[in-house]
Formats: sequence, C-alpha cells, structure tokens
Amino acid sequence: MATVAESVNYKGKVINFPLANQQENEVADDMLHENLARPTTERTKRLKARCRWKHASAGEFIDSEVRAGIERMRFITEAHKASEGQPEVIRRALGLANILNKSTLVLQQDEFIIGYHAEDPEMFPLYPELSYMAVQDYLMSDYSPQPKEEAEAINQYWKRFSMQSKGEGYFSKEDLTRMYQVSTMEAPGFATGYNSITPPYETILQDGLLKRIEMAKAKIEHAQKEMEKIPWNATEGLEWISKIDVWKAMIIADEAVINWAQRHARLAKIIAESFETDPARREELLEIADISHRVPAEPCKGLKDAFQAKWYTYLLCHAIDRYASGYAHKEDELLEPYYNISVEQKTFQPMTYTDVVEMVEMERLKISEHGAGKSRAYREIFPGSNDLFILTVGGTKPGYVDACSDMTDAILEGARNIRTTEPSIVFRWHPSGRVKTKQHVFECIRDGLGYPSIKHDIIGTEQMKYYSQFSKNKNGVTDDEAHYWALVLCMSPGVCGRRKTQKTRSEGGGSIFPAKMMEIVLADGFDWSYSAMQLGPHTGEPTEFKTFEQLWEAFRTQYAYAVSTVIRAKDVCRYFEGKYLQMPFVSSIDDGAMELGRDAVELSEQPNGWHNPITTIVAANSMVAIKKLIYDEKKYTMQQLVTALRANWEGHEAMRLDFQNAPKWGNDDDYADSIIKDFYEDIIGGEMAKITNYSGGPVKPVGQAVGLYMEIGSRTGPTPDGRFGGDAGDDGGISPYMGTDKKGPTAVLRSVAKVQKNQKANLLNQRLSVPIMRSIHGFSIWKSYMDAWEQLNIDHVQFNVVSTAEMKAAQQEPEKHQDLIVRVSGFSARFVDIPTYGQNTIIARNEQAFGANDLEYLNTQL
Amino acid sequence: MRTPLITEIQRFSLQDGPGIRTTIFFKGCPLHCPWCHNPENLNPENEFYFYAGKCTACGRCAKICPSGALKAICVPDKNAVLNFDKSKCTLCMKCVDVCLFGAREVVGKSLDIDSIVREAVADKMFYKHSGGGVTISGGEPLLFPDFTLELARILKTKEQVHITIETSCFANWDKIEPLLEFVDLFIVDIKSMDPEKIEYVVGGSHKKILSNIEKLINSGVAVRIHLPIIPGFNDSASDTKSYVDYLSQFADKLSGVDVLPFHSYATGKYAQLNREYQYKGISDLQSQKIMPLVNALNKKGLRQVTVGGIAKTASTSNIE
Repeated sequence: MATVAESVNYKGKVINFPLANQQENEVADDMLHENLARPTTERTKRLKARCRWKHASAGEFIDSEVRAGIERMRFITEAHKASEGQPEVIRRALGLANILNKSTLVLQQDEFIIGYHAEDPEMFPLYPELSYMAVQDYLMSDYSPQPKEEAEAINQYWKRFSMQSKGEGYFSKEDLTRMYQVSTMEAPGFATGYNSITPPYETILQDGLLKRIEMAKAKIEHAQKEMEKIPWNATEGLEWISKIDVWKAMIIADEAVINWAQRHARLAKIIAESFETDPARREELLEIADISHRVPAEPCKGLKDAFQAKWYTYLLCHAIDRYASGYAHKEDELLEPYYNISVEQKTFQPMTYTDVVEMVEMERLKISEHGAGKSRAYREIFPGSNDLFILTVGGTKPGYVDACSDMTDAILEGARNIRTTEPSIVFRWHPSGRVKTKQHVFECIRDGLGYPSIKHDIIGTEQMKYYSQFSKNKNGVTDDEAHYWALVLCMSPGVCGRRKTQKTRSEGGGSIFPAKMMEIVLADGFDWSYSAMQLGPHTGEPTEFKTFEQLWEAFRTQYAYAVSTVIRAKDVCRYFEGKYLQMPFVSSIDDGAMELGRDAVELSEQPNGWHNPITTIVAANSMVAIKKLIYDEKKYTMQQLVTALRANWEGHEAMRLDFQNAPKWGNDDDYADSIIKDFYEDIIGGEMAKITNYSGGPVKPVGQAVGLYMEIGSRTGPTPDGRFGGDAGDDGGISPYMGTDKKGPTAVLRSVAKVQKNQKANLLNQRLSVPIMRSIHGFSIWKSYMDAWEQLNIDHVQFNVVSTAEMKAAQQEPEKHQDLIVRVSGFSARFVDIPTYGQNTIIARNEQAFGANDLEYLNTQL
Repeated sequence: MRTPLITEIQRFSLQDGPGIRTTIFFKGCPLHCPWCHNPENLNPENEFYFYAGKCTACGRCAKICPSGALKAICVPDKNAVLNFDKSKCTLCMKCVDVCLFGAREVVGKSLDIDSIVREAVADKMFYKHSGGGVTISGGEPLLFPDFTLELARILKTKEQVHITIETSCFANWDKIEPLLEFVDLFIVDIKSMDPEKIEYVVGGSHKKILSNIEKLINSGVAVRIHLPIIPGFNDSASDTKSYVDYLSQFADKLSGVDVLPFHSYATGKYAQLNREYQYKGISDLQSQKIMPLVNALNKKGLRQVTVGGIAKTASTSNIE
C-alpha cells in the first residue's frame, strides 16, 4: 500500500492528500519508482530492456561487459604518423577522416536514430591525444582495449605529444603537486582531458554540410586572390596562410562526415534488401537509409531528419573528434521548426505527437547507451550515471516571450515515460511560461526523476548580455541572441546558435574546494589530515589571529591562490589546444570560425567564464561558528579549537556540539546569513571577479558539486562547523549542509535569496515529501513555491522526490530498484549504482514535508 | 497582558487555512479533549520533551538535578538507565541545559511580540503567490485574548497579511468581538453537539461555544468549521445527524467544513511529555467511515466540504 499523505498533524487535524493517480494506492512505498516507467511503445520498451548502460560506481563499471575499444585510438594514431610534416590543423582533420572512413559501424535492432562512437555498443573510445594518464588508467584495468600491447604502444607514442607534457612546463613543481592532490584544487585540465562544448547544431540542420564545404571553398578562393594581389603586401598577405589551412581542414572533415553518414545509409539499405525479414522493419530501414543519405549533407526537411542530423553531430563533437561531456542544446527551439513541418503541416515526414514522444524516448536511450572514456577520477565523481548529459528547454525568446511549445511538452513527456537517468533536463522558468508545460515539468519531478532542474530565465539571459561586453573581438551576443541559451554542463549557462558558443572547457568548471581551504587556514596552509604537505600559501598561525577579520583575510589569501592557479591551468591548456587539438569539423559548422578562418578552439567571441567552488557551505558554516563562539561570545579560544580539530573532536564532544549547534545556513537566520552572504559576495565571487580569463572576461562562481562533495569530504579533516573528518561536504553550491535546514523550504529560499552580488549560478537541492507531491494538491503547492522562488531572484533549484523508505529498501535489494533515480548535485543517477557513502548523503538531506516537519518523530514508537 | 509561551512558529503550513501560511502555536488551552493531538499545547506552563532514542544515559542530567527527580540507576552488566520521578520535578530545566545529545528539549519559548511578527511575516512573498497568510493557533489563542488581539492588530494594520484564527470559541464574546476588525477567517472546532459531553469530557460550555459561533457567522466574517471525528465519542449516526442539522442552517454563510478523522500520531508526543494517552492503541479512523457525514453535508448545500481540509492556493486554483 502506498503511503497517502494523511500524516500532517497540527491542531488535532488529519489532512488528507489523496493520490492524484488512485492506482498507486496498491503500490508499496518502497517500490513506487519501479512502477512509474511506462514506455510509449513496445519498441521503446524493448530498447530500454536491452540498453547497455555505462554506469559506474566508485569508479568501476556496473556492467561487466563494458570496456574500451581500440579502433578510434588506432586510426587517429595511424593518421597522425602518416601526416607528419603537415600543418597541425590538417593533421587533426586527417585524423578524424581516418576514424570515420575506417571505423566499424553499429546498427542495432529496433533503432531508428542510428550511429555509435565505437566498434561495439558495449564499448567506448579512448583519447590518447587528450590525456595520457586517463588511457594509462584503462590499460591497468579490466576495461583495457584489446589487443593490449597495441594499446600500450599507442599510448606510449602519444606521451610526448600530450597536453600534459606541454602544459606542465609552465607551472612550478609545488603548484603541480598541490593540484594533483585534488583537495583544495582540481587536477589541471591538461592532465585530465576533461572537456565540454556547445555544438552549433543550427548550421547543420539549417545549411547542411555541402553548403558549408562550398562556403569554405569560396573562402579559400578569395584568400588566394588576395594573396596574389600586386603589389605583394606581406603584413596582410601572410595572415591568409593559417586561414587557408583552417578552411582546407574544414573541407577534409566535412567530406569525411558526409561519407560516414552515407556509409550508414548503405548499411541500412543492405540489411533491408538482403537480411531483414519483417516487412515493416524493412520499410523503416529504407527510410533510415534515405535520411542518412541526405543528412547531414543537405539541410533537414523534417523532424526525423533533424533528430538524425543532431545525433551524428552530437557523436562527432562529444565523442569522435574529441571527448566532451554534456548535451548542451536548446532542444525544443532547435527542433520546433521541424516539428511544425512534420506534425502540424505534415508536409514532410508526417508524424503525430505520440510519434514524437517515441522519438524522444529513443533519443534518450541512445544517450543512455553512450559511454565516455573518462579517467577514473571522473568516473568516481559521477556515480550512477554514464557521464553528464544535460539538455535545456523552456525559457524565452527575444522580448521575454514564452519559448515553450508542443515540442517542449513532447521532450518532457518522453522523459517521464521512459524513465532513464540520462539525459538530464533543465527547464528555464519564466512567469510567461505556459502552465501546460509547467505541469509536464512538475510530473517529471513528482515522479522522482530529479529533473528537470530549474534555472531562472531572466538571470541567465542577463548573464549572457553581461559577458558579451567583454568580447575580445567586440562580437559578443546581441540582446536578442542572449535569449537563446542552454546549460553547458550541470549549471553554467552558455549561448547556443550558429556562432559564439562555448567550444572548450577553459570557460568552465575549474573546481576549488573551500572546505579543505578552511581546514588548512587553521594550520598555516599545511594539510595535516590527508597529504601531510604545505597545500597553500603560509597564512599565519591561527592562534595569532586577534580578530575575525584576520581569519577572513587568511582565508581570502588561500582562496585567491587556489582559484587563480586552477584557472591559469585551464587557460594554459586552452592555449595548447588551439595549437594541437583543433576541431576542424566544429570550426566548419561555426559561422564565426568559418568567416574568420580561425579554429573553433582558439577563437573566442563570447566570454563565458564559470568556475566551480564546491563545499563552500562547510567553510561558510565554519566561519559562522568561529565568529560566534570564539570572537563574539569568547566561549572558546582558537587554541582550544585547533586542539579539538586535531583530535577529530574526540574527547571534546560538548565543544563539538556547540560548534555543530551554532547557526547554520538555510534557516533564514540573520546572524549566519549575514556572514555567509559576505563570504559569497566578497570572497567566493569577489576574488573570482578579479580574474581575467582566456576570453577576456571575468570569472563567476557556479557551484556544481557533482559527486565531488563526497570525494573532497573524504579528503577533508574535521571542520569548525562540527563536522567530523572524512564526512561528506555540502552537496550543492548553495544548498544547506545535509540535515541542517530545520525551518522548511521557504526559509531555505529566503536564505539563498540573500546572496546576490558577484555570483548568480548556484545549485540548490531540495528534497520534497513524496505523498504530498503525489497528491492532487501537489502541482498547486509546487507551482506557488516556484512562483515565489522566481520572484526571490534565485538562480537554480532542483528536487528529489524519493521516500526514505524506498531508498533504504533499494540499499537492501538493489536488483529490485533499477528504476529508482535520484538527483546527485548537478545530474540524476540510478540510486543503486551510487556507492553507499553517497547514498547515505542523499538520505540525510532533510525531506521537506511541506508543513509536517516533525512527521518522522511522531511516528516513532517509544 | 497575559503572554503565551510559543511552542512553534511553523513556516510553510498548508493545513491551517488557505494557501501557504505561517502558523503560530500558543501554549495553553482551557479545554482538555482526551484525544488532543497537540498535547504539548494544553498546559500553559513550561514543559520539556524527552526523546528516549537520543538519550545515552550519560548521567549528566541526574547529576545536576536539584530536586532529586532524576536518578541514574546502575544495572549490573548493562548501561546506566534513568529513573524520573515526575512528582519531584520543579521544571527548572537544568537537565535540558546540560544534555549534550538533544534528548531533552524545552517545549514553549517566551518570545516578544516583535520577534513573533518578524518570523511570521518572513514568508510574506509566499502568501502573496498562494493566497496564504498567518494563522494564530494553539492551544487556544482566546486564552490570551489581549495578546491575540495585539498580534492580530499588528499583523493586519502594519503588515497587511491575511489572518486566520483557529479556536474552540470557548471564551466570552467580548474577547472575540474586537478581533473582527483584524481577522479574515475564523476556523472553529465543534467537538460534539451534546452539551453534557462538552461539559464533562471536554470541559467547556456548549451554549457559549454555539452562541459565539452564531455571532461570528452573523457578523459576516468568514467562518470554517472543523469537525474532529473521534471513535466512540462523536462518530455515531446520531452525532452525524446532529452535525448536519445544525450546520445546514448556515449552509449559505459558512465558508466551508473540514471533517478531520481521528489519527494516532500524537502517541509519541504523549510519551515524550511523560503523560498518559487515553487513546493509545486506538486505530486511525478510516476515511470511509466519515463519508456519510461528508455526503450529507454536501447534500445540504454546504460549500467546500473536505476531508482533512487543505485549501487550494491562489495561483493555481483556476486551472485545477
């Protein structure tokens, strides 16, 4: 039997919250989510059943068959050796072409959207040219590519070309060792190979590659004429050389892509004509062949074209040319014109709304099967999911006109029906957004998917305009273009469209960890609990801090050092990427790169510098406790605190409780909130704002914690907020520490709303009561909560609607709970694939029971 | 002016009037309904909760107890356990102060009116979106009529929020009438239509309560009726009939009726307060049992008859 929320008890009343869907009365609480998936068709049901997930838990793949493929690394290496002496950008194009020309194609039963990035659907490719270390990690594991000797030789070959060997030379040994600890700073980008991108899908769908090739040819022709001008002018003329190389590389890449898509078309046709016995599937294979023959060479003419062209582009940008995490696009607006052709006008590829929902489900399953060859550390921080995939819907068009459409609804409905952890969805919330679509958003959340997470439409749009003014070539987004944005990864917004999109990771996600900094500020920058080394600058003996301000400034020094070092590593990496890891295919579909003859990696038109403080709240709560107990009330001395921390609070239990009971973030408490507001605005955001990054703009904080709050927690000693050494950090950029928000969801919003200056992208986790959200009143309660959230000018919020009972049951019998999805920081994960340590932090989040916060103890039998 | 202790200021309340509300609970009630679901609000004096699950029997409380009400007893081969003699306890709260583990917690805080107002209006923005406001509840707010009036006056005239009072209406009319100027909605409990049950079980005056309800209705202020349905006390067919007969007279005037079936969730609180609970072990009332009453009220034309009584929020009421 389902729990119906009659559990609120105040003033002697029972409030009934009958379930919106009465059939759920028969479903036990701890099995609820196993009963919510309802694939739209038999086909998507079969596809889901045989989906080869690439989930990892504690760094290990759950499915034992999953492993790395050899083809990509083999073909790119072969091309690299053969192209020695040619311009680097041409070598990159030839590398991509060699992969596309020779790779094994995968076409699976029941698929409509086709294409895969490795030779076997259990496999994923590796990128020795990106990160030597990440590949080495695979070679030593059970997931090594075969034959292993060949893979080892390939990795050895790339070692001298690696980004790591190029970047390290510009850092002191001391800085490098500190970064490799991953405890106050993340490892440098040139070592991890981690990346993100917002592909300009629009040009592929609207122009097609044949047109892009024509454009590049015309550019080369023009350049040659300019060079041949008499009299010769070297100051202008020599600049054409690098541009001609870039355009030539584009042509090589695009022709290879067309050829690759048409190989898929021929494969589908051969199967249809020679092997397929089911006449319906035969017809479908012929339609698939027709589509892949035309796109992405030609512009898309209908919705099926658009889904397929988008998928090929996705594979190229995120997995074949280079690895890049994410699924950044404004999917509803991108597809809406083709939806109108196929569903409204039915003039090409006629479809019904339900057909579109099925297509969305199939696309989601393609992503669910998509594995990424991430290094072990990155597998550890995204537990329970393949990788980060986040698409964006909703929001507004120029003039803040609602951008929601039936395509938006189909995307949300498909997501709710098929119930997969990936891709996650972001909904841009604006008051003008239509209620019908918001109802779909609510249903996904209510069903416990953890997505859509919600971003504030106006805040994001204004941020695009703000960054635009720093454009290095004075060509940032216009006010109209600023409305067309999506999340690049979990949290940071970036523009979409035909040009100016983010192409590489220098613009985002450099992580720094304030909790650990708090720990070392109390030890003159020394890390006594984990690495036993000087982890940051000497900032003085804490016992010498006569005032709270001295402590504050010492922390600022630690933070400023870490944040500058991490972002410097990002930008140094970008410098070398522009010279050795060009992306000719991406350049060819970017109007800016095409016009200017510059590689997409190197060119920056719209700055978008978001970097990532994680575990800020542990540090902030610590500041509050120290100020109150040591400097204001003088109940303890700093010496006592340092002694207690070194003992991990052992023998100092009464003192620890005082520090734990000091005011905490998230309770609308003026004492705590005024300190934490300053902490965010003055230090966390304020110090970042002083930086100028690769794109010429300032940097803003975006708290996207991913699974790092667990990793970092385990490397952080005891902290003055009363936390024990090794306990998890806070799980969201601006969320209260798990279990310390005692006053309900409105008080959390009020605290969060106080932070406004210098930062405006921050992750807020809320856990809501299942029975109330599933009751007939659920939508109306949630909607008014959201309207107030919008008006409070808070950047983000995301919800877990999963009962403690179900999570505990899933810990006991994981095999019965494969469909239980939870929100972990910036992404959704399959609960049973998360390590127990992480599961417990989610269970510990306060369940906001909307008015019955003492429900738990009322049920306690004494 | 007599000032109540406050047991809780609960934000994001959804069941104490329309929309998203903040509810202020006063400690102290002139009645003594044996099923009371908020027993901590009966006694106007300080009390403390004891959470047995959090107690580690460390003995700190026994050591400090000046009256000898608390004693640690050492049982051979087992942990120390505590013996508590309620008759000796002077409610000095020293044991609460020394507890490191949160096993003892004071029920009821003395707050000045400014702090109450500040907390009560913190969620004003949510009231606007949802059609909510502040609810003064208890206990019985009318046990502190001057304080209630002052609080309602400030909230209405200075803060302009929607105000609801939850009351049994067991008070003199001259204490209720001044509230009409500031209060938007009265939610009034009727525990029984039998004067003897009211007098001997609950401890009030049936006549006074009904007379006040009628005066409220006639004054034109919005009134909702709460009907707690308690097994063996007021759940018979004749009880149902008496409710329906009485309330149907005001069918066009009452804002609504909420039928509230008995539940047992207060069991834990009685234990934590170290009190006897007469309804221990009694099962929750099944919703089906109250359907005849709900149906009959609907049939007589009463508006907004609910089980449990949650009001829709303003922002979405037009689309549901």
